[in-house]
Amino acid sequence: MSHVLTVAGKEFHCYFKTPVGSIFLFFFLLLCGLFFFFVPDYFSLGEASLRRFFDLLPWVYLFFAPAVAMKMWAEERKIGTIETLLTRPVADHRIVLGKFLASFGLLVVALALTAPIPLLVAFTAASPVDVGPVLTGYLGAALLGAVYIAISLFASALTESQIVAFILGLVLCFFFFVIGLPDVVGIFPRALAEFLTDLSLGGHFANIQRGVVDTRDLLYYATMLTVFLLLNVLAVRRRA
Amino acid sequence: MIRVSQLRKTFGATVAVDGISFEVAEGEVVGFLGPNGAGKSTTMRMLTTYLDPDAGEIEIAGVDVLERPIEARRRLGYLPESAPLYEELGVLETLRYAGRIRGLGGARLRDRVDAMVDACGLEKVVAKDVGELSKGYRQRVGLAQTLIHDPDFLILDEPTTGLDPNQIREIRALVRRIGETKTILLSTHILPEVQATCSRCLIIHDGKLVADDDPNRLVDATASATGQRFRLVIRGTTAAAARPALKRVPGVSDVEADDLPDGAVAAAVTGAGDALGEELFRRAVKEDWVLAELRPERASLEDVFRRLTHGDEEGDR
Ligand SMILES: Nc1ncnc2c1ncn2[C@@H]1O[C@H](COP(=O)(O)OP(=O)(O)OP(=O)(O)O)[C@@H](O)[C@H]1O
Ligand SMILES: [Mg+2]
Repeated sequence: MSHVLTVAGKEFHCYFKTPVGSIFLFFFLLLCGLFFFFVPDYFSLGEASLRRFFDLLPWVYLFFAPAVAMKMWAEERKIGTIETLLTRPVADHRIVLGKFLASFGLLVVALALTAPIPLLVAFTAASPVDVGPVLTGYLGAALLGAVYIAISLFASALTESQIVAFILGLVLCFFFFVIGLPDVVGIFPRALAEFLTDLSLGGHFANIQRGVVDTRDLLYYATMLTVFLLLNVLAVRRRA
Repeated sequence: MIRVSQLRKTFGATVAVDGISFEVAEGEVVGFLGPNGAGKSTTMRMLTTYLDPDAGEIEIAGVDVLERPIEARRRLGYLPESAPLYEELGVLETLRYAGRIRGLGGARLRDRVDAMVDACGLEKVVAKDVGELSKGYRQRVGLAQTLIHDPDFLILDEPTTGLDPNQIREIRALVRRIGETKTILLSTHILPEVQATCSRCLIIHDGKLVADDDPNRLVDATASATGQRFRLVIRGTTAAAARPALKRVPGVSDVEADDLPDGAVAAAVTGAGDALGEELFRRAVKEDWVLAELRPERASLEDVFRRLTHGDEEGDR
């Protein structure tokens, strides 16, 4: 465990050693703010809905997660530090976990910084806002984010180019997100549609957004997370 | 003790390492010498568990590297080619991270970091980030992080490549100092490096081991195989005139002569016979030349190398 934390600590520290981490956070908040307030016009709607905030999060993640994870393995391969890293007496999966925790940590910080949005909604709403759904919304958002990060981290382990890692991560995340959207699912036969919804990130997120924390959804996120972290370990073992 | 037997690694159709076997005894400093693409780095990557061999066995201090990689890694310090480091970390952060991930902490970590700053001469750069360092200092930081856990075995892949002559001298001195207490395998293609730092050298070519001997003995063997070589600087003649005159000296087999800008002639003479130097001197007197220089040249490892790996190298150049 201490190895995991050592790696996570170093990677998290690196986000803020350069302006990169702050830039990611800035753009995350900028996108959230823009989407929330202006698309469609928040002020003309007259009423604030947190639903909309959680609806747009997966779209913001689509850029945020691949961006924060792209460097993790690609850069190690490119500059060769991967050789030092993987020849220290630490099992590969601990390093993968450490890197995951660092990226996930940044995502949690980003989510925490969106707190003014529900607060604003609470202050301006006509009727009192229920705290429960907001909290489950954030829980779901964190879980969804974790899977996005795991997918993006896996993409980063496949290449030594950060750009390729970013694009690959974005495409993979996008794929797992859109296969569950109603518009997309609609074109498939019923059975396949259900399967795709079950497999998709969005379908499960919708449940949690409604304030329902179902063990099936939790299980789904845990499975996706495990699968992509394991794929990550395998990708890292592919040395040459 | 490092024991390697029948090590083999292929990348697709390329055979990078082709059945190499050798041993490095405790306390030895062994040079691993070979041209580009010979398979030095690939061998070292297998020794350090970064790459899995296709076949063969590796044992370090009695630990089977392939079966217990983590255990082997604990005993090893590995400096990969070109000393890769995290640019954004500070020098001290780099050393602390290397120490922590090796299980050091608290006072012990502080002591080791201080000791490494001291041993590798990093005092002047402790406040800097790795990205700001010169190549020589980067190499030193690389060595420092390799040594942080005080390993008994060191694998150094081209520790002096890309450095200026001063830096090379410093790093070599550092390696020699470290080598007093540790077992080191270091690769290089800067040939005199092996003579300067190593007690034994392994020469590898096309993935195969072609020599395993004391570097100086290899040089002597080459000298007797290819003959002696003298360098001369002569005044009072021209290259065109000197060439046939030198060629007539008994025992001489090959002469190269060039006019220097200052009017002198530089010549390199290869030949056999114990008295070759005297014969050359006598010829100079007879021709009424002023002999500004007459210097026997020891065969260099470069010659050794050419002899062992046959001329296929020369074709490439
Ligand atoms: N990851 C890889 N994929 C494919 N081929 C490789 C890989 N690594 C090495 N090779 C090939 O294996 C051979 C040996 O390479 P290696 O890097 O071990 O040589 P080297 O002796 O270290 O050379 P140099 O002095 O240039 O560092 C070369 O032909 C190289 O092209
Ligand atoms: Mg090499």
